[in-house]
Amino acid sequence: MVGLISLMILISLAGALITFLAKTREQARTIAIITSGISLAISLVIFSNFNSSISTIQFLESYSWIPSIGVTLKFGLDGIGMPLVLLANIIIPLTVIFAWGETKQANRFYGLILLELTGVMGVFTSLDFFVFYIFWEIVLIPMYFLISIWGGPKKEYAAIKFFIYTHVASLVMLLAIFAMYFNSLDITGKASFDMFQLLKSYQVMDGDLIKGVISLKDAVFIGLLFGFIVKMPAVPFHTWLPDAHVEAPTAGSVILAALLLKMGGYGLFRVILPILPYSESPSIMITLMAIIGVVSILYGTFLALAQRDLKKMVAYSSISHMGYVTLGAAALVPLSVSGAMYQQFSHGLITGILFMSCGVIQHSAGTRIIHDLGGIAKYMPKLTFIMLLGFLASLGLPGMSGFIAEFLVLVNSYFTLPTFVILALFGIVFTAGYHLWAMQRAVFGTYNEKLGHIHDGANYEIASMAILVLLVIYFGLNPNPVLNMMTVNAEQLLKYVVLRGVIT
Amino acid sequence: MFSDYAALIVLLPVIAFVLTLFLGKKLTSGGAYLPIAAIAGSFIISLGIFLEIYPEGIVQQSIPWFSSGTSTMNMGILIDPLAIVMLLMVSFVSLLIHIYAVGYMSHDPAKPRYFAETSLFTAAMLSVILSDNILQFFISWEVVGVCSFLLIGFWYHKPSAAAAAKKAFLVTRIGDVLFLAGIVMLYVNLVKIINDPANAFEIGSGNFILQFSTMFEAIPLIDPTQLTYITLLFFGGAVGKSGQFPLHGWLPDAMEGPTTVSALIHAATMVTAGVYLVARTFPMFVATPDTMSAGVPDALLIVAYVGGFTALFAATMGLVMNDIKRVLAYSTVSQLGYMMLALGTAGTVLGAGAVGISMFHLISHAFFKALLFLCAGSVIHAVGTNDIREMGGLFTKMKITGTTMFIAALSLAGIGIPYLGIGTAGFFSKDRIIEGAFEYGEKTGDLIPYAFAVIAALLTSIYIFRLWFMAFTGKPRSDRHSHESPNVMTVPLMILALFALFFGFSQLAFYGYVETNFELMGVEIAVHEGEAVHPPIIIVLLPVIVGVLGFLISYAIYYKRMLDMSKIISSENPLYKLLYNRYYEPKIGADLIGVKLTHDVVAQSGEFIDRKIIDGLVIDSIISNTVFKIGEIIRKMQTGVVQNYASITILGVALLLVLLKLKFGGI
Amino acid sequence: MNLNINFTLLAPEILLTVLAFVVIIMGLLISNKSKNMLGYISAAGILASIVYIVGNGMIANVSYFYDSIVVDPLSQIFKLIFLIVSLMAVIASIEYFKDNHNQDEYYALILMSTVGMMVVASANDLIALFVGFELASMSTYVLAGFEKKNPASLEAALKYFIIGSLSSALMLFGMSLIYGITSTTNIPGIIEFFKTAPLMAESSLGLLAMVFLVAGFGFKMALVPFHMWAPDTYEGSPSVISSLLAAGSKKMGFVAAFRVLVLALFAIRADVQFVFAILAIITMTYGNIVALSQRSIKRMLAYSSIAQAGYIALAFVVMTPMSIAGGIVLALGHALMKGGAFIAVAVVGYMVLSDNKNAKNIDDLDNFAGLGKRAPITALGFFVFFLALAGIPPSAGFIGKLLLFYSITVEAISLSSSWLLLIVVIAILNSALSIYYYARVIKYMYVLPPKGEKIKEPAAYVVAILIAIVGTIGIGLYPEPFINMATNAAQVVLGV
Repeated sequence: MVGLISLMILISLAGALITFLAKTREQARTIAIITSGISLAISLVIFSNFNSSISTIQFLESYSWIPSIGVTLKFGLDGIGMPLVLLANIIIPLTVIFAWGETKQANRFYGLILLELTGVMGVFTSLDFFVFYIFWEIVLIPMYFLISIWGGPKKEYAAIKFFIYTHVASLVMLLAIFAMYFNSLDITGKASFDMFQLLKSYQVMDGDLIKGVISLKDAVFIGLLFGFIVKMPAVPFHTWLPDAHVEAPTAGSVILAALLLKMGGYGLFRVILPILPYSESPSIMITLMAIIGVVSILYGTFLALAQRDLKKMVAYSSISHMGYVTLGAAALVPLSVSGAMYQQFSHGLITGILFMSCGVIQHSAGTRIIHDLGGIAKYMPKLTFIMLLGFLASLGLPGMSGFIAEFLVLVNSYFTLPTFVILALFGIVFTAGYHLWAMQRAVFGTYNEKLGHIHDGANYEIASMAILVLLVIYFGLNPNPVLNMMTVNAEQLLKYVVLRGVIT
Repeated sequence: MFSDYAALIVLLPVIAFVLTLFLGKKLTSGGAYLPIAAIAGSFIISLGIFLEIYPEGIVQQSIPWFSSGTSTMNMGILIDPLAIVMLLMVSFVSLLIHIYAVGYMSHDPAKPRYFAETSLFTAAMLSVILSDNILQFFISWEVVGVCSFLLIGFWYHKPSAAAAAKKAFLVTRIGDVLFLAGIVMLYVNLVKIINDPANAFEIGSGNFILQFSTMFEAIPLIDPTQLTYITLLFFGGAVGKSGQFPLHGWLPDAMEGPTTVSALIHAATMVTAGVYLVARTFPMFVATPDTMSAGVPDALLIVAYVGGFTALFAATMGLVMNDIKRVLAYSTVSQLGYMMLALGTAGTVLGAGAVGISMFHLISHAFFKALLFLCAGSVIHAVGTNDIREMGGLFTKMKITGTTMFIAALSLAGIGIPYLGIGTAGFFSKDRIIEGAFEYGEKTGDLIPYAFAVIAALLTSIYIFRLWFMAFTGKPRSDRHSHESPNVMTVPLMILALFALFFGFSQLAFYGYVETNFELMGVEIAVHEGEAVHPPIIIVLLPVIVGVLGFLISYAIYYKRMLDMSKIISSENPLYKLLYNRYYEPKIGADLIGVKLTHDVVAQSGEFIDRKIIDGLVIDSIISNTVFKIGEIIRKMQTGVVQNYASITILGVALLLVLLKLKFGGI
Repeated sequence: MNLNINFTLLAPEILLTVLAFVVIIMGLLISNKSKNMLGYISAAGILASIVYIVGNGMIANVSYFYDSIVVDPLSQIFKLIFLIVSLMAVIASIEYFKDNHNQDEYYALILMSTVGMMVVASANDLIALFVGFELASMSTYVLAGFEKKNPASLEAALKYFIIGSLSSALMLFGMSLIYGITSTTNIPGIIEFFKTAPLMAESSLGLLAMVFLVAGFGFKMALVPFHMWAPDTYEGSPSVISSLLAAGSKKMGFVAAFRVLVLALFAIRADVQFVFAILAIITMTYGNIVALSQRSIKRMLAYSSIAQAGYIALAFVVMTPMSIAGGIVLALGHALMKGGAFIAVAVVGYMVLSDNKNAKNIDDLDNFAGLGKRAPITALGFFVFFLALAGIPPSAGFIGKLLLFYSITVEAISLSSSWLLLIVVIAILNSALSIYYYARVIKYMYVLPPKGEKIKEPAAYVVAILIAIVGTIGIGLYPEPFINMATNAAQVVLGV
């Protein structure tokens, strides 16, 4: 008897395979929407039965897989994973709806989207490092195809760059996982890739990687951290992202920004925070993360300001927003951490709107270059309305989910990282700056007649974006359904921190 | 009984917003009646609550919102004297302006969007006023800002409008960030205080950390230096919203929006939110050390100087503007300066009393400035231009507009008769501020704020009557045949005119009521009891004298044409150029800092580093290219000649041997 | 000699040898047209042997002929590898050579070479080892040049032959030196000798012997710098034979090295480590870098299999059970992936020729455009094999690399040796690099528009490819039994 989680994963996988075999576009998208719908339903069942007042793993399931090296298929959810699984199941069906009009190799297109769903759900639910890594890798393949088949002019370059860049990072992470595995084998004498087992035995890891140069603990920590921040991505390991986004098809961008980047943040909470207090020199690591976070925030903002391509601007804005995740995680205050988690969830929804808007504009006006647009609001009122809401949410307008996240991060990080928070605050004005500048140049002002006659977004596109907007507003007014479980787990995570007196 | 429905004050306009937005197209006149009805509802409820709680009641309702434990954020309502007077004014003025807009916007195809947005704005503004905690205050404050952004850019197809909207949002955003920083610091201080057992400070049940009551309770425990920073950061927010120097530039540009918007948002309500913020958190300002003792500046002093300077600074520019709305915009900035000045100076002298003085001017200003704008709107509606040089001689055609506008002008100039207690609203409200500045001067020996106030008063009177004479007297300077506006527009004018004339008589009652505000909240506020100073007659008369003087000057120049202005109004005159170019603020602010520095220098260089160095050099050039080159080279080694293969094999064997020898010699 | 010992465990070798002669003789009797059946017969024979070996549990441990032949987990798993490869090759050949009149010789040769490889796997005596090597090599020399009309094929065969005999000579020289030192050719004997007299192993003679053996085996493994023949040969030979060479006979080198080097030269283990570390790194880097810019897929596959040899050779760097098991699993996986890949190339060749009778360099990258549409199963095969070769989970390639990298990391940490760690890092960067050239082909297959209409993929090829796909993924999804087998074999290797 499989549990709900593996059922969810299996259904999406099966759906993907069936979709590949679909004969017509009609079949393909129908199967896709039904499967992702079922998956969403299951995730909602899980969500509604989820006890958000306890920090322990729920819906735990475990099946033996490769006993000789101690690999078990172990799935479960807690306040860290649950919201992201929900997010994935919200984003994917909406992406399918948004891409309802896809004609090119439809069966493959929808199949790959479902495969992404399978992959990310695996990452967010698996509690065995081996399985975690496998899903982590599997996620790359559909995205590679989404970019290189349905992508823009430089798609080959972008796709391969995305693949290799992030793959190297995952391999480094894999090395670190080996080290932890070996270490726990040493200590417990039991071969096991069980996440919590490995994280626990990290606490008593000792020895040097290179005598006198770097201790094993630090090496493992940095290896894992590297693996995660490349995915997020954080400056200076972000350069694959703009290319990938610019070339990717809209659906690809949405999934990439809304789900794949979140894997990096998830790693921070699931893996980095539990071991941070036990690393050789926590204070240095905290400072390192804080710097990475703030630099990403400011750097992303200023680069967004410099972009001429609307989509590239949005891509850089994601870098900036994910910076809050790193900063909040580094601050090690319960509410800053849950704020960072909330930022992941909220950014997933918001960025979906932004990339979909870029997609609609590209599709209708034939360009995304801000200077070549202008005044399109005249012919695209529906899009303008939703896009404006999306942009306002993205620049952190109160009343939208983004504000709650950034407010929690900033306010609570100030306890431990005041200087960094003050720096981050500077970014806010410029964040508003590039959003409004883009709106003013691209959407408002006099209509650029060179664009010829353009039409508003199709209903299915507008509909899926509208749903996202409603969610953004809902979670901006009532964050509790997901925020509470996050806070519970954040407090749980930070017990060790306090225990170790890393921060007072 | 009304107080149970306090939440509806905000919710009604919100509902109206949603309905108008989605159904407006199908309804007559863009669904204008929904917001009007809703706002009327808000006004009635506010009035009911006022009658219930007057003279010393308070309405407080609060529910937890998110996060947990001591750090629970809440949403709530606090209606105290301070709030109720604002509620009444905002809902009333907004109601009148909505009615007026039915006529003013009648020809605009986008009416539904207009009414939806103004309705949302009203809701947010009301929520600012009655929020019982600083976070909700900030949130509503931001939403208000967005509505302002949307409404300034209402005619978004005009590039100038889109640009003005952006500028308004960004400049106020600077203030908002400071405000947010203030909240961050405040929150952190509060949490530290709560966690420190020594203070034995805890939040009672039903109370929450960021509630004003909690904040005020904690004031004595907050380190004075920190307190000063917090208040100054709050004031930064106020400077942005209320267009105080140096963040004043956006307000004149905001005139790109429809005139009704200017009247509602950029004269009567939103721009006063900054003043309201300072008044709302006034106990904190008063509690800051008022000497340089702690090594930090005196918050109230800064408020006073910024306000006083802005009052004068803006008035100077008001003198030379030719766009009727811009004149009024600078006038607004200047009057807001007075309100800040009042808080700063009278705050030092009278403590809580200052709130009454400032709020009274805020409200009377709301009436006469809204009136001025609506009259201007009516004029623009008639002649179809904003340029007063193309108007003239309108009085004969537009009697109602002309008269009401003249009343408003009198009120703005503060004309009245001292000692008899007869005068316009502006007379009562502004004179008290100037007197307050004088008392402050007497107490501290620093008369500069007072000087600011008096000179500004003179200029005010000059520019407003210049405006009136140029528009309504003389012979028409444009061939357009103009006519009086419809009743739906003139009736609100007349109602406002009544208030502009007679509101002043409520002065003492008003002071008495609002002054009690913080005591009702149970806040011990240090009132330095200025022993009732009786300023010399000249001081009492001076404001009126300068007011009249200003009127006479304008009369002489612009009605009698006694001297030819063309000499002064010329590009040769550096002073004129300076004023006309608004002290080059747009150039410095938008062009230099905004575009050149931020975008062209910082952002572009960042782009260069990112693409060319981090990505281009490291990833592309160095790593991948080298690898490929090596690959090519080696590939050529594969000659396909079998002899080479053999020799390489042998070579390999030899190499292996050498390798091992090196490893551990011998043989 | 006790003649009534039971030879049942050698049944596969015996069966295939007999079958080889049967095929030859039948070839003389039956008509050219009906020679196709020979393919089926050989396939059946090989299949039978596989079933038999697996059926016998692969954990036996018996020795024959004065201890010159042993049957133990090590030999059995490698026999399994060889048999699977030749099974795929034979099945594919049924299509590839269907119009060829010399099929009888062809299948006989394949069977003989298979037997040769199996002998190597079982050899417990240097002589037996050499005989096995030669038997396999001779047959493959001929097979490589089997397309008499195709000059490329002949050239390939010639080069292969020349360099092959050179390396045989080196290997033989090494063996003779060992015999000179230890005065025995029996491997256990040799091991015993070196155990008792480690100094002899450290002597220059010992070194020389080791170097020559390494060179000889390295030739089969196609380790740099003994690899030069491989690209040309793999490219020139008929694709099915390339698959036999790359996937099968290559592994002879490894099994031989496992048998002889690991234990025999155990005494100077550190230096074997050292030598193999350098060889492995150079080999994998070289293979990957050169593969980057290849447009001929067979050549690309050749270099990729050089790189893979580099990975497998990591097993010698740290001689722990885990690392050797990893090497063996990767060898098994590589047999499937590479074998399958070359056969898939054969399908592409078939496709191109059916478009245009006298097409040149049929394995050019351009011919792969839109393969996903033209030959879906073949394309799927390439897709799976390439990702597996790149070490993307879940696949045999991933499990193999995982065990190897992991075992070295473990060793690096426990010895806290930074150069071992460096090796792992280089290996990891390599497998990341390799993604580039695999992904490029995948792009051609799925992204670019097809150059012709869909073809009907010949059943024989499809069967062979499907076997490889199922094997590759299967090991990835359920590696447990294979890891166990490999671990048993590893214990034999390390003599524990």
